Amino acid sequence: MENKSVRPNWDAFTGLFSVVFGLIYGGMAYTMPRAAFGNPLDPVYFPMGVATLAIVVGCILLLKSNMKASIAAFHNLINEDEVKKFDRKRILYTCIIATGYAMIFDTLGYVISTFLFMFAMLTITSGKEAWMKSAAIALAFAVSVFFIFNTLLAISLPPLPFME
Amino acid sequence: MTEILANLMNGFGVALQPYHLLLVTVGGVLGTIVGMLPGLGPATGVAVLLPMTFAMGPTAALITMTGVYIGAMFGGSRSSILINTPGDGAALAATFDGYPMAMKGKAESALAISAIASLIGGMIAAVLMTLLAEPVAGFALKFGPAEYFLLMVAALSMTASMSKGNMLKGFLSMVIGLAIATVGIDAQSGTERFTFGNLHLQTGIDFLVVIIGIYAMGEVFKSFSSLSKGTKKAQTKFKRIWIEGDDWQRSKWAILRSAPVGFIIGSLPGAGGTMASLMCYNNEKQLSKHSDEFGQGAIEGLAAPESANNAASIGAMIPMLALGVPGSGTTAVMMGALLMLGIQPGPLLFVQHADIAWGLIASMFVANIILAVVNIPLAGVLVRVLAIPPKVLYPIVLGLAFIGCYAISNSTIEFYILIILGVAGVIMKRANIPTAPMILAVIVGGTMEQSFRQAFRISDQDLSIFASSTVSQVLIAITVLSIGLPILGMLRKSKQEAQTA
Repeated sequence: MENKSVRPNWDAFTGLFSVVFGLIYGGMAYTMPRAAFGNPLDPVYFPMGVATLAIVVGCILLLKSNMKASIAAFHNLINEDEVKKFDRKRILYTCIIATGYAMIFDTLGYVISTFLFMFAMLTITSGKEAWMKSAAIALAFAVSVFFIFNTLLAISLPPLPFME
Repeated sequence: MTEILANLMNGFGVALQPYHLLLVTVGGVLGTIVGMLPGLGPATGVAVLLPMTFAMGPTAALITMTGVYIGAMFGGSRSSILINTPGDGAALAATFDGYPMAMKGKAESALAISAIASLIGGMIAAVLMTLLAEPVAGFALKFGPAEYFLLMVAALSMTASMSKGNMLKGFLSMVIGLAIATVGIDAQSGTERFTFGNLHLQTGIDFLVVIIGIYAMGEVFKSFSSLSKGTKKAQTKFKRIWIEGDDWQRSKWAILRSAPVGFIIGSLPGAGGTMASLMCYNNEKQLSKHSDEFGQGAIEGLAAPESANNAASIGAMIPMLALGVPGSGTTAVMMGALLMLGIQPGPLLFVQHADIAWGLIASMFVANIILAVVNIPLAGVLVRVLAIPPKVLYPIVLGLAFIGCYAISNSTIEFYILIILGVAGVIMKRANIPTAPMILAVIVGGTMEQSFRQAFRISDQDLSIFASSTVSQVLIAITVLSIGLPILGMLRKSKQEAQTA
């Protein structure tokens, strides 16, 4: 009964995150190598202060919040409708594609890797049916950005592999 | 006064050079376009368009970015008026009466008054900035490291505690930002901190990467939901875009009253354009003879927030330029742009780079005029960009985010950080954690720590140095008040709730 009256929110989990973050960050700061000259603890003070603040903020958040509300928010997240789940899947796919982009960027050069990245991204947002349009936009984007940055703005980008 | 005028004239000498006029126009148009895209506000606009200036000199780059910044402010309200979707938070109040006006077939008047109010608000704020920037910087020149540290503490705590009803989460956001700022080799002792043995992390995480990650990647991730919802069609055919009838009579006082209020609110850290425009909207609603029309297409209900919003965006530049402490996410991005160009904003900017500081102030006047000229007759053409489907737009913004990131770091390691930050932006949104305190903390964190350590060393590790001067005491009082007042408010509210229950 009581559970139903709780308004779902993420406050308790956020507080928990803050405490855990503070503890890990503070622990890492404490075990950091000391300064070779001057006060050896000099580089440690500030991070320790930040860690303390994280723990204090986290504890207050935990005290103020209701764990049941966060659990309810988590349940709501899992039971969201398919449309919202698909939105999250889009984010996941984008992350995977972007990771792939980072891996091939230097090897395949800007134009090819960006064409593939943009084509994949446009396929996610526009669907497979519009593949020709997606390919055209991806190609136009990759070539024009390469031209603008590499030629006009003199920012060197990895060229096509066979041009090296 | 004469000195200020002479400096401003020199500034105009820089800003009015044909090349700089061209840059401010191009920057302004691009800023308007990015600013009007739903979900992508001025911060994203500046972040995404920043790489465009890499090949320019500092003055030209800064003038271009000013154009982008002010252009994005002009553009933010276009989508508010036409599709009821604000380009950013500050343009939210423009939906209240702007959209009903468009619905009633008065889109032309709405677009025109929005540009006119933005122009007048911006010009009044630019005059106030001209008068105040140097005196504020002159005052700040007397600050020692202890005062500087406390100034940043005050700015950060104000920003965190003004995060609506979310003070604690604002502080958490700030803490994460400060933690990011500590990554890399410590400048004073050479100790490696939080690098996990990674060579690329030794130079720290570039704040521009954080900005692009949170504002460009994060915003696009958040906006993915609009792909499922479908988009509203914007009106793209207009009659002559200009005000008619008694539009001007009804709006003029609203515009003139809202500009100074917007400027003052904008100059406070953490407050910003959203608060300024909402506050001025409510003020006008109370003062207007037509208060019953508010929310149904009252022109003064659009004019007031538009004037306040632009004035606030210029007011927000004061703490950034004169003190080196940005007061909002967008000015933090602008500060990032300055730092990238090798210019340290702060009191010394007006001494060491007077040409740049005054060139920037003068270009604010110029940008406001050019943007009004561009926005009124060309509004019909510019808003066609709203017809670009988000499904094409979002991948393009992502593509620009990655190229921007590569242009900054010349390495793909930052791509991974960008992805992590984009996801962090979504999680923060879901958990209701504001992102502005984090961005601010990333930018000022390094200087804040160095100031703290300098003061600590000067005083021979005596903490009383942080309360020894009057300025320090005032700054401590501001910090305590900025944290204490919301807590008192929260306690009072929970007491009232307990009583009603």
